[in-house]
Amino acid sequence: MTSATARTPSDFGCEHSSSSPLSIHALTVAYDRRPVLWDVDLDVPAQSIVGVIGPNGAGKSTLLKACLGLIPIASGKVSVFGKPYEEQRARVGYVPQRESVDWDFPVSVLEVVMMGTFGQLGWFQMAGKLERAKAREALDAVGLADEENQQIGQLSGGQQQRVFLARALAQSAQIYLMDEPFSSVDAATEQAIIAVLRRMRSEGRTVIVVHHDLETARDYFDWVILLNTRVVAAGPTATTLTHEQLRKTYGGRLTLLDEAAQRMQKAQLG
Amino acid sequence: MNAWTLAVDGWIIAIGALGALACAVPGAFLVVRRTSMLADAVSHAVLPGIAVAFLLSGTRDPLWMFLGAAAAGLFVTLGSSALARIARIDSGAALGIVFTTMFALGLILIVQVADRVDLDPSCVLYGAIELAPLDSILLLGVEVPRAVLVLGGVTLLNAFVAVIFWKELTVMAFDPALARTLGCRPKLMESIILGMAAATCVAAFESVGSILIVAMMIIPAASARLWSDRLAGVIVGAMLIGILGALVGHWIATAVAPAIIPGGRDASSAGSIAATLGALLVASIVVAPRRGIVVRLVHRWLLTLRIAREDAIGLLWRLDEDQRTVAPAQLRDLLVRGAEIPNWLARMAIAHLVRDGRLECVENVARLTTQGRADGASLVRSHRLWEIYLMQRLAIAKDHVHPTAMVLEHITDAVMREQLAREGGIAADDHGTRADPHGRAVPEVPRTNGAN
Repeated sequence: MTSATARTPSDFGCEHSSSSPLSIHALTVAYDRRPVLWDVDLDVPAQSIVGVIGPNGAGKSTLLKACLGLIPIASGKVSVFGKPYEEQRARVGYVPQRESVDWDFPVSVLEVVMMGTFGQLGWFQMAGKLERAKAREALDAVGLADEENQQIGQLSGGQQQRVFLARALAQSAQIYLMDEPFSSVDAATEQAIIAVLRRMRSEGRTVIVVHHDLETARDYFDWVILLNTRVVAAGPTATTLTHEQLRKTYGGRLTLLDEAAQRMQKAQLG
Repeated sequence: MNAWTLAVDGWIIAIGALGALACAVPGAFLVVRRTSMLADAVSHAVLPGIAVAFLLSGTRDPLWMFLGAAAAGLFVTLGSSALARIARIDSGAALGIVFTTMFALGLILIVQVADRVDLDPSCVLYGAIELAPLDSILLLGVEVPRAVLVLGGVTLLNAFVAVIFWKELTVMAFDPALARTLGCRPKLMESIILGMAAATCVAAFESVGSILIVAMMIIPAASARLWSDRLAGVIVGAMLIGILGALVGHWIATAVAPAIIPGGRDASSAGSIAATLGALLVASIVVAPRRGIVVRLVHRWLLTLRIAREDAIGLLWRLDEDQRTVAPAQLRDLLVRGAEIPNWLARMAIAHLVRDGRLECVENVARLTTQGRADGASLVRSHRLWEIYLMQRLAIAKDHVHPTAMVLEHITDAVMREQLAREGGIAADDHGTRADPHGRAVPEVPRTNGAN
């Protein structure tokens, strides 16, 4: 666990910081008993843009989903601002992969963005003027104010990604987990998205982004998590995103560990 | 042919329409989530649920029937997903296995208990909407069929549930993962949809039967989806289409079918309603806005004509570049051979261009007008910029870029054209000095009023 553990100076003397927006302790995640993420252990610093970087199948999306309770965790603990995620739901926003929803669904752009506000409403409470205004403001921030009445399938891929971002903005969370928000978007959309992320950071929020373009990573992120079924390294971009660490992340597969994971699945262990 | 009477035909239509109204909410959610198969599964699986409820209670009490059906509906979804996981078969097959098996069990049970309780197996399958008005209850001094009350009650219940859980239901249907992170309980909402479907099946059982209820749940919603891009629109549309189907279907069964089928007997109203709904779906596929076949054919035809016109302009512009002139008939022949289009289309494209003031024929010479030359210049500019781009960026061979550019030039607007110029390293003030891969100049677009 040596290189896998990243500590900020503030938690010197205690295991994990209670002020960290997202604190992951000894998290192991398995699909059908086969571990896909081993012993993830880190504290994400507040008010930062954090990149989760690693090859295909490294468990990047799995890490986000496990933090959000979307998939069961085999062992370990996730806390948000020092408390279990279930108690902090409203402070955590999620931007899933664009491909995860059906864009043919009969819903307008504005209606999708308004969904972001639903977490602030109680049961039986309907979205009203306030929510509509919030959604419009969020659409304006991503440059889609003129598209609010379009059916979502009419938009380009980049615009769809921005709709998801607007929905996250309307959610007004403190920490955001985003699954590949830059995937297959044009250059202009990419710039628009990073501008929004930087605005979020300047407002004191923390954004965790699954990303796989190494060229832009250095420019975009304050902090990176290099992932390949385990945390290879996590820390400030300047000192963490090094050739040596990238070689470890993208290089040699841990074949022995793969083999063990497969056996665990077969033997129905765990 | 019998004359309609309000007391009989009015009630039958009301029962059919209420059945469709009750189906609209669960049907719309199943269709937009692409899980329509669940309607089939639930409607068939509730049969053993009802039979067991009969066996246990010995009555036709709707509460017992509903509890049995709801339990069976829950079992079919949980059972099939468990089967898919344990036996490692795909979820569609697992669903098919579970609901058909449950349906078969239900049939056996119903035949067994049919002697003890008043339940007719064929009525369960096909319904008896014609007999439904006979089973009535006195309500506020009016004889109201029990089916009307039951279906009306379920319609109100479904509408009420849809309204109070609207935001949770929609976010679950669109993005279950987001719904979960928002605390909208997507699993619970999914069960609520299935519960509504099961309740509707039970309510509609005796009147339309377990098979036709599937048509009522899925077809109006699928048709309405073609007309509306909003979930609420799909629900309201499904209701309207369902009412229309009940009205027209019953009319066909009682007035049309006896007149055209020898023997002159009334046809099954439930069957006619379902068949009418099918016909309405076909009609929607043909005439619906945006997604309908007619609209798509019109769009394709307009595109074909536009491309033929642009090809004619491009052809003439290039001939002009070589200082060649052609007669209108020659232009047509060149267009037919060059663009591989039929003669009549070439003739039509040229006629359109003359009418729009792009082309004029003076002394048997076809010549572009000022406006036509501007259009031609932008088209040829797009074409040659694409050739440069394809060679530079995709390293496509010089003698291979022309056909691709021929297609791309038609979908290139002014914004894309200037982006191409920038990426090709061609400044806006090159004044046509840069050459394409074939050594021809990339033309400037002359400034005219209304040039594209």
